[in-house]
Amino acid sequence: MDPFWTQLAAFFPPYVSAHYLLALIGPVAESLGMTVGAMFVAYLVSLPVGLAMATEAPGGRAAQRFLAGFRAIPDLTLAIFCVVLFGLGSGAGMLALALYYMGAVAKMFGDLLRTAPAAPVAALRATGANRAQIALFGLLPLKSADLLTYGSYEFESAVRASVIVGAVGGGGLGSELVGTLAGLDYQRTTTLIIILILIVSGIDRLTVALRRWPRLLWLFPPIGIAALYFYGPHFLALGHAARTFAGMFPPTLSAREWHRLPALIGETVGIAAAGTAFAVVFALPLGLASARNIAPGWVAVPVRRLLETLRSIPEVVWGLVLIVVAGVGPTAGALALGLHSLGCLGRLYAESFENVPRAPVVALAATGAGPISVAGFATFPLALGPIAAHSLFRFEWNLRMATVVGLIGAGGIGQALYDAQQLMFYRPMMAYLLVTVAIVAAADFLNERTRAYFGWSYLAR
Amino acid sequence: MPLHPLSRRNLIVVGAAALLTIVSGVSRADDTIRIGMIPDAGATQVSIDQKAPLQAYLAKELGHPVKLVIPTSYNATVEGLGNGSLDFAYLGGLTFVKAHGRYGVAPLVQRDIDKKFHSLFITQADSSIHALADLKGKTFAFGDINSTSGHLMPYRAMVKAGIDPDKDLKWFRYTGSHAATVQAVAAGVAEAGSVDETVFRALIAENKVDGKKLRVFFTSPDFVDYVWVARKDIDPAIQKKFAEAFLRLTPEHDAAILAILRGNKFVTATAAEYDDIEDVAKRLAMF
Amino acid sequence: MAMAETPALLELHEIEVRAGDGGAMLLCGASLTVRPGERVAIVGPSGAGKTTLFRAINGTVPVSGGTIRFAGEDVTGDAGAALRRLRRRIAVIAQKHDLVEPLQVHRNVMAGALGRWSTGRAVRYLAWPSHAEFAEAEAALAAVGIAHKLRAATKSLSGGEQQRVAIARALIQEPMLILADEPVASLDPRTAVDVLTLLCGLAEKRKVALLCTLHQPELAARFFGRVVEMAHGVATERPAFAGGTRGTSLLPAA
Repeated sequence: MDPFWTQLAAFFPPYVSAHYLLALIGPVAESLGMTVGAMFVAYLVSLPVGLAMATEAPGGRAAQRFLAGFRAIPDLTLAIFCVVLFGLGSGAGMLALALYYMGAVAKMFGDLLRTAPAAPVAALRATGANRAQIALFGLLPLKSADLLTYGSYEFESAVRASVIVGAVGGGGLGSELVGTLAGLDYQRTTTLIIILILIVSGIDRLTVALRRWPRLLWLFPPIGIAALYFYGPHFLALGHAARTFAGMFPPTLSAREWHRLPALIGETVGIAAAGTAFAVVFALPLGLASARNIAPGWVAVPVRRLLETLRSIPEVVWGLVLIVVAGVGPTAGALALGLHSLGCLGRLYAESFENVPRAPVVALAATGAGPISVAGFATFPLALGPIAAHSLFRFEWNLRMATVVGLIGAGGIGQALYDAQQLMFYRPMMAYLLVTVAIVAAADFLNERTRAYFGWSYLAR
Repeated sequence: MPLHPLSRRNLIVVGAAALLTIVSGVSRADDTIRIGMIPDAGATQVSIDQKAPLQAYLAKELGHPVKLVIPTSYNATVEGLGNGSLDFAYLGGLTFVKAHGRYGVAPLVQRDIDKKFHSLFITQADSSIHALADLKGKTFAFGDINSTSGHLMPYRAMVKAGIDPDKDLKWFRYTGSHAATVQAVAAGVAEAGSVDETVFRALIAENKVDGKKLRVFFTSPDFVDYVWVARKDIDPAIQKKFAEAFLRLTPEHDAAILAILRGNKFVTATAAEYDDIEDVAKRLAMF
Repeated sequence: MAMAETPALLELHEIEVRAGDGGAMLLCGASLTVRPGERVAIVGPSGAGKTTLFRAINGTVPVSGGTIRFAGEDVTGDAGAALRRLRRRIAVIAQKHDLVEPLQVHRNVMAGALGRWSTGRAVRYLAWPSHAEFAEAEAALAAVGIAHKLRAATKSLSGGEQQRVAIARALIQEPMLILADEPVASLDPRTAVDVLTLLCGLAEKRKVALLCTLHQPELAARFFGRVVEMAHGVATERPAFAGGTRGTSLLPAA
């Protein structure tokens, strides 16, 4: 039998025993604690910065720019850094998450607050209120629902990220996951992935409840403080961190490493392109099959469930599993990006099909055309614009993620960075990090351009 | 959905939580000794569970609470010694050379077999590979990039046999652990691989892989490998206690602990024995 | 009626349509007869049931009572292949927004042929249109006066031009009846007159019956021999025009 299927079969059935599930309470609590603590800090820092920016207070914009800079470094890369600088365990993971999400949340809060309706804010200003008063009486109440909604989206994404940072030594479920893979305990890996899916869907329910009963939010600060205390950095070896950090400069690559660089970048772009292509090819039929206005319920519902499952497993976790199944290397990386993207694109495509204007579709059906002709002449061409936009965004995101899955052994620039880090060649590591930041910045730039070209309307959910 | 300003009830909740945190903080005074082990055979709740007898033994011998930690990578173990999050650690040859060079860690003890350790080259029983020269154009799995028996010494053996891994292999990959290498070769993901001899034998003895499917086609010359070390600013008295705890182990009394350590007898280790490893690492640009 | 001996093309008898199951009555007993080649305008306020009447005719909404006969057959409640066969013979022109904007003009025009094409041919045409198909589309566009827009982007057309494309699509369908639902409501008065002139002229030339809703009575009087008034879901023949000027010149009076 093909090694791929033999290896895949080794993951089933999932291993379940009361003893193991009890032993997992620790790692699960550690992952959740890491997330809660990090997000508490992220919200605490981002809200004033967002408000300062929206009220055009001096320094607000600069502070936001500074925080947003951390977003340029992928979360897993930040985690590797924090493990080097601050040691093992949930402390380093929490720090990486806090830094990354401070950037993400500050940008999001700033953007949201700036869209507050102008009239009430102007009326407040006319009363002679100062910036803080405008923020408290105008911006916050006006946008509280949006802040809560988008803030909780970020929290969900942080829960997934906590598993990712764990994979490089940040503790919790992620460390356990890597451990089971390295120890050939594949059936336990499946158990862990199922637990991850359950946690993510549980958090989803929780955020829905939070939007309904915003009072629950008052529980967050005490839990956040407790999490910071128990799972935060136990100590900060600042002297060691400073020395190690200084040892990363100046970033240098040897002649041989320079020589390999174009191939590495090419491999990273290739992983992103192949992963996106894989996702697009399968997302088209699956998107059609899960669009409520096209497919019958008995097809659409199971396909939707499948897409949901694909999407709730982060790229890095797919990568870790696929490296066992398909072998270390770029194939595993591309498949990892492809499977997660398939989950995301499938849903977005289905929505694009569902949002097609009805009139032209009805007009063609009125000529007596069959269902496939109607799909080919109306539904498909009408949905093509949004589908193209979504696919392009996914490619840009995958470009970023391709640098990340490399870190777990999937090839490209990420792998070079990880190997350099493992061998403690910190100057080349810094050089590779700068290349990664450049790739991410290029992806972000492309993203901004695409967004400006297509407009936001295609992405409005 | 306006958020209500702090009501009295909310203040009570916040206050209670703050109090709870402070109270629990007092009980967290910490004299635990943290011992790290490189993840040469995987790191999970289960593997830490399995090592519980070792943890209990060391806690008794050292007179301190002990926490065993298995980081997710070799590098993280070394950095743990550097930034002080680990007090003692179990390292491989190459990781020792690095930790010694960067952070001055002190070698304490090692198994007698570590003085004359071997790396095994494995392939599937029915494969056409019978000698190092046959590896030309084949796919190959190394263990962790920092592993002495999974990467450094096999790499040198290949170079000595006239195979340049960068050019002559179809491709090679780092699997991250010896167990993963064995699995990769058994499943046919890679055609051959190099592993630690003790991990390989343990996997077959525990029936985690089918020994009949695999064949050893080359055994490396002797080299010095795994060693237990202490961070340099650990109290010498505790270092001494730690070393003695290992030297005192005998198969008659401590079979369970020795099984965990995959050895029979512990001996004193010295830094000078690693000069050869350091030299090889430097020549192969791994140090 | 003068032409009582001619068999009717479309006969609606006491049609009832409800909004959803057991909802409000949208049509309550509407009756109407259209003969081959005849042109009939339907006028009435918004909400009178004009659009619902059209939807009932081509089977887009189910009728809860009454019968519909088309070309001598009872087509009430037709579904599946039978419904598609009915629709093939009835072309629909809507007020606006029913072209597929991302497709070029010629593909929108040829979409009128989908009812008689096999799915395989439809897919082939989408990817690879033949010369004959281009010629057919161009002829239809020439009939509506915009042959030069054959390969234009549909988005780039003005409202009047888009309506002409919709008419061309109806022509390609080679229907026996055209249902035009407020075809000029979103056009300026001058363009509206142009489009109606074109539509009525083509219907006359090709001997296609035309049933057209309008909300400007003066346009109805000017272009249509017969005007039916709809209110509260009931159609009433407007006496002043009944049996009146059918067959007179279609050219604008002024």
